[in-house]
Amino acid sequence: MRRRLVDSATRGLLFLTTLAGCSLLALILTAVVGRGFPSMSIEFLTREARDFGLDGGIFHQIAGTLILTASAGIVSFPIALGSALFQTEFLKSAGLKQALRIATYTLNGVPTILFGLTGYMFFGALLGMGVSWVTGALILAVMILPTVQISVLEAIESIPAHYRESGMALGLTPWAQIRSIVLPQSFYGIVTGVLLGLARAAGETAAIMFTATAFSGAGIPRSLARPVSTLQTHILVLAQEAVNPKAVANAWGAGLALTALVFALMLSALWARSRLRLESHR
Amino acid sequence: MNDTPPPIEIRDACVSFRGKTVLDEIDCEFRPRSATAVIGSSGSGKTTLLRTIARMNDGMDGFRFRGKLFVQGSEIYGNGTDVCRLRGKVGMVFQKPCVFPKSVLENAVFGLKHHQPERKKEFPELAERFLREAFLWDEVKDRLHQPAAVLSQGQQQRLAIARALAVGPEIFLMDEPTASLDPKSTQAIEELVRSLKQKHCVVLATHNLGQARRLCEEVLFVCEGRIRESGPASRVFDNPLDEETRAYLSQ
Repeated sequence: MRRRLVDSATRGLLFLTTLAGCSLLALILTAVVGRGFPSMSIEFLTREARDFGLDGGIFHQIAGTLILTASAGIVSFPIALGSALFQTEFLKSAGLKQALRIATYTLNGVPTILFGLTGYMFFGALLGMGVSWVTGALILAVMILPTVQISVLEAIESIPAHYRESGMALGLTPWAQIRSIVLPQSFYGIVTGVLLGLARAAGETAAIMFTATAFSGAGIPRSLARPVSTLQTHILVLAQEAVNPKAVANAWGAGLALTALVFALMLSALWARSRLRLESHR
Repeated sequence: MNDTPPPIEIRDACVSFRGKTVLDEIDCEFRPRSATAVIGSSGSGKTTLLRTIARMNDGMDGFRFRGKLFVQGSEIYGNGTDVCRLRGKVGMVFQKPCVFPKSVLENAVFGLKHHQPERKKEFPELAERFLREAFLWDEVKDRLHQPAAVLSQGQQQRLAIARALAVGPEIFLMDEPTASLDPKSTQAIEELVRSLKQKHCVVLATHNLGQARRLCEEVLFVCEGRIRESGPASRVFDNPLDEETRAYLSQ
C-alpha cells in the first residue's frame, strides 16, 4: 500500500516537473508567436529597416545574423573536429583526455559577456580589428567551440569500438581510419554538433553587442572590417523604445524571426541526431 | 639447415597495463603453415597475447611491452616498425563478427581499397576470389550489393575473414572466432581454418578444447599470464606434464 502511494507520488511529481518545463516553453512561444505574428509579412522580412527600425523591415538584420552565425561555424568547425580527432584517435593518456574534457566543459560555462569582453580586448583592440564582422565571427567561434567540440567528440566516441579495431587490424593508417571509418560513421553526429553550435551563436547577444554589431545604419557588410547588424541587437534597440507601440511590435516581429531561425537549426540538429541513431543500428 | 625465421617468435616478453602485469615470461614461437591453439581460462591473457603480436594494444592507456617479439624475423617492438604494414602481414579476426555498414562487396575489398587502390578495376574479381577462399561466395554471390549486416553471424564472420585475406596476411590471429556462432557456422569456420593453415600460420585462441584438438597441431596453455605448457596438441591433450594444465583439461 505504502509502496503504491510512493510510486504514485513520484509519478505525479515527475509529471509536474515535466509540465512546468513544457509550460514555460509553450508560454514563451505563445508570447513570441502571438505578439510577433502581426508584424510578420513578406515586406517585413525583405525590406531594410528605416527610422532606427521603427519603419521598414529586418532584411539586413536577418542577413547579418546569418552571416555572423555562418562565419562563426566556418571558423570553429575545423578546430572542433581537429581537436576531437586528436583526442579520440591519437591521444593515449586517459588523464590528459579527462583534463581536456574538463577544460572544454568549463569553457562552455563561461558567461558569454566575458567572451565578448576578452574577445574585443584581444581581436578588437590588440589586433586592431575594431567593431567588425571578423571580430564578432571570431568571438562567436570561440564561444561556440566547446558546444561544437563536445558534440563532435561524443559523436566520434559513440562509434562502436569494433569498427576501429577492425580497421586497425586491416592495417589502415590513422588517416585512412579517419576517412573511411570515423568520419562516415559519425557524420550525422558531427552535423548535429555544428547545428547546435550555430543555434547557440544565432541566439547570442552579449558577446557581439559591442564587438561586431552596429545598432543602426549597418547594411550587408562589404568587407570583414565592417560592422554587421543582427536581429539580436535590433531587438535590443527597439525594446529600449518601449513607449512606442510600433517599435515594440517590430521588436516582437524580429524576435519571432530569430526564434524561427534558432528553431530551424535545432530541428535540423534533432533530425541529424535521429539519422545518427538509425545509422548506428544498421 | 633451414634458415627461414619462424613466422612469430617471442622471447622473454612481458606485457603490462598501467604497471599491472598481464603477460609475463612469454617465450614461444609459432610454426609456418600450421595452427596453434592458445588455450586457457577467461582472463588468462590469451587475447592480450594475440593483440600484442599484431600491436593492437599500442593505443591503450599505460600499455608497456618488454622483451623481444619477432614477426618473420623482424623485431616489431623496435624503432622504426611500420605498424600499418605489420598489421597487413598479421591479420586478426575477432570474437564478435564485425562488418562495416556497407555492402558485402565493399566489405570484402575494404582493406584492399587502402592497400592497393590502383587495382580498383579488379576489385570485383578480387572480391570473388577472397569470398571463395572464405567459403562464402556461393552464399552471397547474388547479394553482393546488399548490406553486409543482413548476413547471418556465421556469414559475417567469414566475410570478416575474407576481408582480412584480401589484404594478404601471412599470419592469422583468430580470437575465439566461433564463440558467438551456432554449430553450423562453427563448422564452416573450422573448415575455413583447415584451409587457411595450408598456407598461413594460424594462431587460434579458443575455449573450445574439442576445436583446438580438431584443428591445431600445437597447443599453448596460458594461465595467469604465463605459458604453463606448450607442445604438440596430441601430447599436451593426452599427456599434459604440468599439473595446472592437467587440471584445466580435466574440467
